[in-house]
Amino acid sequence: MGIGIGCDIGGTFTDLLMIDEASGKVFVDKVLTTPADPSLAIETGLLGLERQSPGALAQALTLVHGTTLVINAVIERKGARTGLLTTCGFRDVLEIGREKRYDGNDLQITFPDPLVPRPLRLEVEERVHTSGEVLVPLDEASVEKALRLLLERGAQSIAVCLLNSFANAAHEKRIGEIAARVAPGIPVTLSHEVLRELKEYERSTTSVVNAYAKPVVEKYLQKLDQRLAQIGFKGELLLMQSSGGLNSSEMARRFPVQIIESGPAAGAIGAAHYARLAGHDKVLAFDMGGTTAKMCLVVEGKVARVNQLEVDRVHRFKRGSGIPVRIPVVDLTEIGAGGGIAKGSAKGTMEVGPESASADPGPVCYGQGGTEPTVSDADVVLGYLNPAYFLGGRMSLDRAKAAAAIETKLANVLGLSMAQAAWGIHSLVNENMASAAKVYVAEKGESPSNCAVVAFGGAGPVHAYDLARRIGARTLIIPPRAGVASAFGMLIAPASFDTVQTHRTRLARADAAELETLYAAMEAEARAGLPRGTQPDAVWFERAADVRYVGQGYDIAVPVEPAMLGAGDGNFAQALRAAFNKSYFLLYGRVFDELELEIMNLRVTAYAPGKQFADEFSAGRKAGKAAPESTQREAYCPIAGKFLPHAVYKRGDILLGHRIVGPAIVEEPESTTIVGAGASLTVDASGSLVVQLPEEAAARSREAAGELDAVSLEMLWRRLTSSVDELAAALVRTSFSTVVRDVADYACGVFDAEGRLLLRSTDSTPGIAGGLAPMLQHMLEVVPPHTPGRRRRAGRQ
Amino acid sequence: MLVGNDPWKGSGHHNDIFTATPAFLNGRLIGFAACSAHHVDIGGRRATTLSRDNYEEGLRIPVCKLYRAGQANEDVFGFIASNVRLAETVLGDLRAQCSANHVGCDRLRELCTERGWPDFQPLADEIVRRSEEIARAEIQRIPDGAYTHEAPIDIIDGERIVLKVRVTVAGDSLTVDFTGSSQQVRPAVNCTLRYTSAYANFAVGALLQLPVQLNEGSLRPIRIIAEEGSVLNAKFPAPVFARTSIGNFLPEMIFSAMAKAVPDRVVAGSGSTPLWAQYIFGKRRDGTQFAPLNSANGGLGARAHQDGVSCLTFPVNIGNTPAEILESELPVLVKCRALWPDSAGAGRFRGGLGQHFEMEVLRGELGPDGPLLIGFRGGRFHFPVPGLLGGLDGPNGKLIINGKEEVGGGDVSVPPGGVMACHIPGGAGLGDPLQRSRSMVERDIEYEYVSRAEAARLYGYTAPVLQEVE
Repeated sequence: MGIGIGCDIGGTFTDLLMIDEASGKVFVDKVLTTPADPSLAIETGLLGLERQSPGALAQALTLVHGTTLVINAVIERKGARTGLLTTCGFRDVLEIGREKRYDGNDLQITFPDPLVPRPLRLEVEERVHTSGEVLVPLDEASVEKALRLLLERGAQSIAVCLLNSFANAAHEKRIGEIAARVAPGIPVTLSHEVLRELKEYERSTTSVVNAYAKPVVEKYLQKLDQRLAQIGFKGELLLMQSSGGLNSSEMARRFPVQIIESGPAAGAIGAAHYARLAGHDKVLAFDMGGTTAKMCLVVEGKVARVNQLEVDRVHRFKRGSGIPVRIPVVDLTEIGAGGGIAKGSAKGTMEVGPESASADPGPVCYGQGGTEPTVSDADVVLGYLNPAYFLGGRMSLDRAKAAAAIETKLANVLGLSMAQAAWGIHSLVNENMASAAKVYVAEKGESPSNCAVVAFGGAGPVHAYDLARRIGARTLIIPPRAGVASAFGMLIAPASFDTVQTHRTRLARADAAELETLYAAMEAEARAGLPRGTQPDAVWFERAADVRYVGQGYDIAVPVEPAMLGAGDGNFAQALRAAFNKSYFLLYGRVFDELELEIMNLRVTAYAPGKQFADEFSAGRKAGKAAPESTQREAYCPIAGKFLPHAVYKRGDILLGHRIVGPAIVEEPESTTIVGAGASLTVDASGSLVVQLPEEAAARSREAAGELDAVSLEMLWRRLTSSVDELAAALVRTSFSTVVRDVADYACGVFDAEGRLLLRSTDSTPGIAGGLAPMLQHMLEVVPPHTPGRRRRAGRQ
Repeated sequence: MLVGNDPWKGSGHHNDIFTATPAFLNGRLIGFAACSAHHVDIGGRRATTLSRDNYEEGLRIPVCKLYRAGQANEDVFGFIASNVRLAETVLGDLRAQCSANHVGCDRLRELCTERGWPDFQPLADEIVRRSEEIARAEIQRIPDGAYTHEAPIDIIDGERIVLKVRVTVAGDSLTVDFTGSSQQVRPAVNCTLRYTSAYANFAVGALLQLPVQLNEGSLRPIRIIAEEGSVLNAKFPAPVFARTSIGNFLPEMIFSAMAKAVPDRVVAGSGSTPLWAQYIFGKRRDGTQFAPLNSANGGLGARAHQDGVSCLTFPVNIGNTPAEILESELPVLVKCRALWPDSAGAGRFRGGLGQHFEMEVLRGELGPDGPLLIGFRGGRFHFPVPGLLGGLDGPNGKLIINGKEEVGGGDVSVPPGGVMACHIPGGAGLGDPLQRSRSMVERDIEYEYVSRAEAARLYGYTAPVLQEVE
């Protein structure tokens, strides 16, 4: 039993949440973030908690912290002046990258500048073979010379990334020793310590981000330690890693790259926790705020993870336009821009986003000078947001101003009624998020209709109902204190440490005993990486191997049970193939038993259980009355296609045993939940709102039957675009050859009944894409369709 | 479901197999989903430019039904399987194409069902109409006129290949006419009119910066012409396998012609055009064989307001293979993957830098069993990367195999200890180099992108004399 505190630093607010297990009481504080010195806001917030519960600070066991410090340093280029040492011939790897265009049609394409400019990238004489054999011994004089030159050029931090160091790290280690002598006091990052995995570009970028952030994180944590000591906190400071696990502040100082996506992951963990309590094991955590909307699949309490993220993208929604960072990271996918701006498009349709209204001046309804209608403006006009109760009444919204902007900038221009235009904004942003969510879930081999949506973030509960309806989900959960979901998630996350080791071998030749030795060594290493206070007997490990078909460029992580390795070589190969088949089938829908498998990397994660803070909600708060009190206000009902009176509840008034039927609106200080017509809402024992959506047909909105107006045309045009992109995704997923998967040498298209090309997949190869339409015309001349329908007319050649 | 791969109807070589699936709703034809993918093998001679006619280039699949009423047409599958190497992979990919088309057809049906529509023709009409309107409006913004360009691009089979283009903008329509380009050639680098059209349309679409995709509507105002029998409209049965060697140049030709009309939108010549790659065949010491494709790219050409990107594929989109992957798969050592200083054409904005890529075949225990057979692709051996609007040319490409300068195209035997060095040019410049911002020239010198000597020669740059401060 003890006191734990979670603290998440966001762009606007720093959220703090404290749980006192002894009393079951929960305390929340929200203070303005202090960008110049983020630790100041933490101190302010902690003192706020101390005022709510005097003496708590001195008794607190843990403070878990999530921070955007590292990602901001990278994006704003405010990290240390960093030097990079490489093998002779490879100083430019960091700048050359992978040589691919992330957008085939963009002639003005650009990439982010490398974090280390060319004069600070120097070479040393040495060479290691992929087998680990040393081909050219390390020339220590060349190392000293390079280090001195880096110092001369002002390097404050140094990264070392030598070729094939994943196979033999001796040269990197030796350079570390020399640097300690030649450049004392300068932090050094050795690539094999950050990422023992092949692919020199990705290992370089990851090591460089680490080196770049090291002095920044060091300085920040020193300051934070000081403040914590001053105000009497004596517990353990833990940091939320991108992987969704916690680790010590010492580990964050050594490997700051691991906390690059520190905050966002926690929200998903918190969401999953409440979904489990509500009895749901497949969950889509949906977080929507003013500038971003994110989604994460959580299965059986385990947050989906991937081994790479991309930071500092030139184009926010274009994969490949940023800097790759290979670390385990919670697979949060950005499905939208949050409160985007709505405008007329060149097509004569309405578009929402991707530009979002910045906090200043913000949406029109904030009354701070914003003039372009946004998603928030639509939400207030539609009656979903209460102008007098925004942020619990701390801010009032100007509904008339929002309505006027939508009227003049959109409705009049596009020939829509005000209600159509406002609903158009709301529904377009939801449709955009829904199509991104469908692709994301399909890529994981899951179906959204089997998942419950858990919504949080300021705008999440406002949009979640319509989003859930569009993706075919049947249950929607709004956890308690959705506004501080991340701070809560941090508190219950497990501690973890991840290791990886490239070990490339064909499965047929894999030696189970050798693998067992490697895994055992990695487990020892991973155990040592956990925070010091960890109970040794509580630690558990997860082993995995990155496996692929020989010749394919994609590998997938396959769980490896210790028993598989004990079973002897032949049986191990069989067992691993079975495990691979299971994962591969889930993702791609087929397996190829005649093809050889190859192991690329071994992975081990050590976990120690998170704190099991139980809060007060589990105490029964049964409904006393037949129905909670409600007021009424007019809000837009998409099924009726007009404004209808909606019952409006205060969240705190809805108790166990109550059942509310939509249309309804539930208000709380941090957000507003919309419940559609025919849906039912209850509250569960842990305090989550649980909304059951009605049958699909009953939930169908009027927009389905309408004419083609500026909103529906945009929506359907986008639908066709995502249809053809889904077609392409299916091709890539189920194809075998590297030509399709790695080189992406293919094209897909959809045509109307007359054989006219309407849309091609976004990443089509121009040479092939140009052939789609003429080839279909040719095919239809050779084999004319003999079915009813509109007659085909000769399309263009 | 229909299948076919005629290069004269589709995308210019046999490897691209097309499949098309009609979507029916309540017995009514509502649309089609189609896709095409480059297959790893299509029979005939392997990846080579030496085929003398199209029949040597592998299996020709006439339009036929791959599935009949949902049932696989095993005769067709059988024919394909018995004519290609790696049949499992080829049939696997073909089946993937079929299932992908099904996904597309399902989506079309769902859309109609959800809206309660018998088909989606009104939506299709609207998309076609608006796409056409947008394309016409964009073309109208380009000043009317005939814009021409002519350039030799390569010497093939002893003959100079000259491409000629005339882009005519008249009101809201645009015609690209390649009349006058060289006659078709014996090696397998000829383009069919379909392939020529594909790259010409791509270039025009990119220049127009359309907010909609190339489709039935947006392509209506664009016409592509090439003389039959020319290298850009080869007559059957000309060999066509490596048509990228010529076709890759078409965007550059069109940009060069249009530079005066739309200077803000064009890209100067790119060192990564045409593709530089090697097909590497060989045997490991354990007897296993390998045959991967490796590519390395030169620089992108300069743009009106920014430098080109160093080492970036264009107009195809094929990235590199990491050195650590290459070395763990092949008995080779990558000696160097580096920016090639002074390889970018100078200009107000310069090209992206080219690349120096060097690879050695390992000896002894780590080496292969016997020599490697490497098929080299590359270009700019005879003519430099062309600059635009006063920008200067990028250098020629240089390929040195076993110490001997080569021009690519053929297969070369490289024994253990042998080295291949590719100097892949940078992009060309755009605008007068003397107008380049001095701070950018200084940055280029500091970063050793440009040597002091070249900065003086090309940019007229002389270092400021440091004044003694009292």
